[in-house]
Amino acid sequence: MRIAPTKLETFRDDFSYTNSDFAIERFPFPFPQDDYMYSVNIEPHTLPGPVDSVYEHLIDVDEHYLSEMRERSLVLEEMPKRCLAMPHMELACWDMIDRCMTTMAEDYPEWFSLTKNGDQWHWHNKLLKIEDTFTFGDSSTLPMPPMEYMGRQVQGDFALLDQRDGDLFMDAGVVTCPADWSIAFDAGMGFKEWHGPVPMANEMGIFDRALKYLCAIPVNRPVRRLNWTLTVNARMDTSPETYSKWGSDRTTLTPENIGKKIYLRVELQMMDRMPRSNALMMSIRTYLASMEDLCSNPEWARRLHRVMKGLPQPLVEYKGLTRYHPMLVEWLSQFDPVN
Amino acid sequence: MTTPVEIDDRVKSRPQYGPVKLQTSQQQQVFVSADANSATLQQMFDECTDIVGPDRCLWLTISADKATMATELATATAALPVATAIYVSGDESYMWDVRNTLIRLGFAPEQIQMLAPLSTARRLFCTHCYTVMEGVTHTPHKCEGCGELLLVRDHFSTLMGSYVGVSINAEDPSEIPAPEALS
Repeated sequence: MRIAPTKLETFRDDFSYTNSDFAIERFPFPFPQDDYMYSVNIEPHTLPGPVDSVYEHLIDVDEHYLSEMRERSLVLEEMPKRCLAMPHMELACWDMIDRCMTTMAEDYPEWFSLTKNGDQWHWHNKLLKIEDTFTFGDSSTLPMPPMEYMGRQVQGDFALLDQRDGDLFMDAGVVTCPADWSIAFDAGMGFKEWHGPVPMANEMGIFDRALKYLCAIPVNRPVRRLNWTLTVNARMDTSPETYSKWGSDRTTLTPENIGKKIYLRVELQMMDRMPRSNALMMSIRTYLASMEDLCSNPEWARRLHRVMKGLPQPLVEYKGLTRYHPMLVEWLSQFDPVN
Repeated sequence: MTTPVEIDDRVKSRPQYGPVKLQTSQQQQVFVSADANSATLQQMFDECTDIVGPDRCLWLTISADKATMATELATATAALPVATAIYVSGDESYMWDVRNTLIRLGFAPEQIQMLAPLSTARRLFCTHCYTVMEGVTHTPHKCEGCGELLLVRDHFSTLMGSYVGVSINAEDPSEIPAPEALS
């Protein structure tokens, strides 16, 4: 049974974030094999997915909804430019509002409702106690710009990619829980440009193939992939903007606390074609679980050890694990004595 | 995956500047710089004049100040034909500003060629406070906005004509690496 979001946890300061057993069980574990290397691991996001899984609906609303929405407003209060939309992305923002509100109201009728009367729409978000009537497509009828309005009500970061000249451009987004990238700097970049710092994948032809595939996604055929990294503490906002606040977290690890303090950070990335603007909506939904919680599953524990042990050095560095990678492998080895 | 690949360590968003060729089949040839100190551009201009005649070659001195640049370029290019080839020389950030301005004025990227940058100076965007700094020649560089000691990375935004800087010692603020000249 899906758990109603009632708790209000923190992703900073005292880090009160915890996962229920249910959340651990449905955690999107990203390693199908004992070793890890890049691949074009994109697959259809066929809906509905398995009941209660993170893939059940287009947008997964889970027990952390209220906490993540509060975290987003804290970030936007400090740095409003973490949400942006170039003027030509207005229509795409409304596409996003339509797609998110329509599916959320259908998939979670107890939490969200949407009434459409021509272009007069009435939206009720019972979880956040937001209720508004607006004219669809007219941004002046919303209390704030459309990207921010929707972004404050849906978990995960969102980017709207404008498709032109066979490329995808990062022209709008709300990015408050990134794995170390900045929408303020990457704004306006093409697909290969914003992936510029990623090691190895370009030479492997990953980006050429992925871009071709993404440009051909039709309406109503969303796709998804998983990406991952590690984060010290349950910190959602591991942005370059705030790096000086979280960089030193990496020096606080000891063999005794590493299982509690290292979180596997999994991004469920979902790409969905927008019907009016032809933009591609990309949602990057972050799931965090501590090594200790994940290792309550013996299969995951064994696999985590093997994957981390065999991780290529360029990836260790790119993912920022250099300082604690050996300590983590050592801690994980207790679950995999034969290796 | 076990496919062997040649690993290329460079950050792929960093622009590369190849040799620039005169497109003499284009009706109008335009040479843009902020001042007259680009010997290569001057040489190309002379060569081009010899080939297509002085009437089809235009030398533009355009300000490096973004607002002035926009006005000057709009005026200078208003009457140019579609078959125009443009060559730009200067510091890297200047060339990207010129290119982006021209694209906003309706030129296509393939009409604009940039020469190798005249210096190693970089424009730098602080990822922490969004301050933009000009003429950065060494890494790390102390941010003029928030004071963070910034590692100057090779990740480049063509839209801003800028590299990104990120705290070099966030993990351990007592580490203060010696500055190195940028290439």
